[in-house]
Amino acid sequence: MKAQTDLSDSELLQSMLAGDEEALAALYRRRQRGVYRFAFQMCGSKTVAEDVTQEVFMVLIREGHTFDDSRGSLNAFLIGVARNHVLRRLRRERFYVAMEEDSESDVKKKETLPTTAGPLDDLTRTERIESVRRAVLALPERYREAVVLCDLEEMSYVEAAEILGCAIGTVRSRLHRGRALLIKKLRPAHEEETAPATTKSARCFA
Amino acid sequence: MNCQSFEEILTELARARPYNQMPDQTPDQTMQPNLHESAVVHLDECTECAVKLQDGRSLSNRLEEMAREMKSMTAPASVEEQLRKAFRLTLSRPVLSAAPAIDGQRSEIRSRWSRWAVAAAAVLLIVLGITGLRLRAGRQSQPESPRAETGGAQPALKELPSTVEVGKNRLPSKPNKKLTVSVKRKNLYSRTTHRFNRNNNTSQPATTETTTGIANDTASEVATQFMPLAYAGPINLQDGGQLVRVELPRSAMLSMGLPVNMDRYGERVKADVLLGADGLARAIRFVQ
Repeated sequence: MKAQTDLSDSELLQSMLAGDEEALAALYRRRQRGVYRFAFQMCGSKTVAEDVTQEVFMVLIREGHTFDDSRGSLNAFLIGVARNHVLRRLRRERFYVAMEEDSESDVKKKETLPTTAGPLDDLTRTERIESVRRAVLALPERYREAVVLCDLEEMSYVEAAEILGCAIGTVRSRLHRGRALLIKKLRPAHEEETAPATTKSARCFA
Repeated sequence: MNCQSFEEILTELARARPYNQMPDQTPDQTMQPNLHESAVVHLDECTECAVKLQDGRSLSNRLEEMAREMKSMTAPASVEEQLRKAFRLTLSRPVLSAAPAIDGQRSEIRSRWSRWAVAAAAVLLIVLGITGLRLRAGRQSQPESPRAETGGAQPALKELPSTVEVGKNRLPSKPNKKLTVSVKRKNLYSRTTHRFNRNNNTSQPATTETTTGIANDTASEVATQFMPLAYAGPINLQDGGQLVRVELPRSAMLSMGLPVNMDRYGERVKADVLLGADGLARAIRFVQ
């Protein structure tokens, strides 16, 4: 008999639907990271990401029989469900202003992390990552999901197109535009200030 | 290669994804195998595209850094526990295998009900709308009826003097019979008077006398009922009051919620304004 870890997603799902709790646990441990990360990168809230992860697997428990492996992988199915939940949450909560989530445990974790470089390097790196995270969150939803799936989750265009339910060319163009917006957002302020001046002088001399 | 075709493959170049490994379905299937070489040649020629590629690569590095940082993120253990609980609960109910059929039936019933509910709501809305329109049309087509009603039910109010002074000394001590009729009428003014009478019995004769006195004076005029002005409190004429005849634009009738003949919109209309002892207008009625 195969161990739970050797079984494919579909086999685990079948076992789970037959009532095997350990199959659910194995499936959850295998796929929850991707779902949770995707939800967090899309909405920037750990609480929402937790809720979404739970809802996604609840859908799998309730409606796992609707999954058809000929139409795509289970991972794509789960991320697709997560995407629907995230978008619904984002639309419902777009009127609210998000508060910074920085619990004490996170702060402690940051403080106790082993540092290979100096503390200044760590701080700079954290700031850099935070600025990218904010820039990604500020992207329009359609570009954000393309960037999250292709760049942060390192999925291929085919997988991303499967999840987003669109053509591969659409994924490519959304990714291209999303990246262009990110470059613009992450460009240092002093560069933005100098750029128009250069254009102006060029026009004057022309 | 020109800048436009370079722009098309910029993302792949910046992400260091070789385009010959891209899926066949992508538009890149038409790309030539030596595309990378021609891109490199173009980069030597065009500094703008070189800067763009540099920006793209820098962004890719930052995104990779962020992805590495988030690789270790997991949902808390409590989520797994709750899922296990929910799974056990689902198992305890013998619905897991029968769930699709039951769900399907439920959703069918629900959708059928929702369709009927929507249809019923639409019919109800149409009926209400038609009724409302008819009522409105009926009111607009009978502009004379309020006047006739006023004239019939309150003949004493037809007559008005040009100006009436109401002072403490001139108030009679006994209420008139005609007053009782005007107080019983269900209009805003009567209600105000009623409230006032309950609070202060001595004021009843004053109100009565005012309206009765006015009524006795004019015979040829048709007037609406007195309408209290929005900001005014209960009318207290014990301290004295004044009835002033004024001329107002017809739009004033509109502001009081009365129908206005649009053909005579520019004309002016006579009105009696009831002023309190403090000089504030308390109520108004329109006269023809």
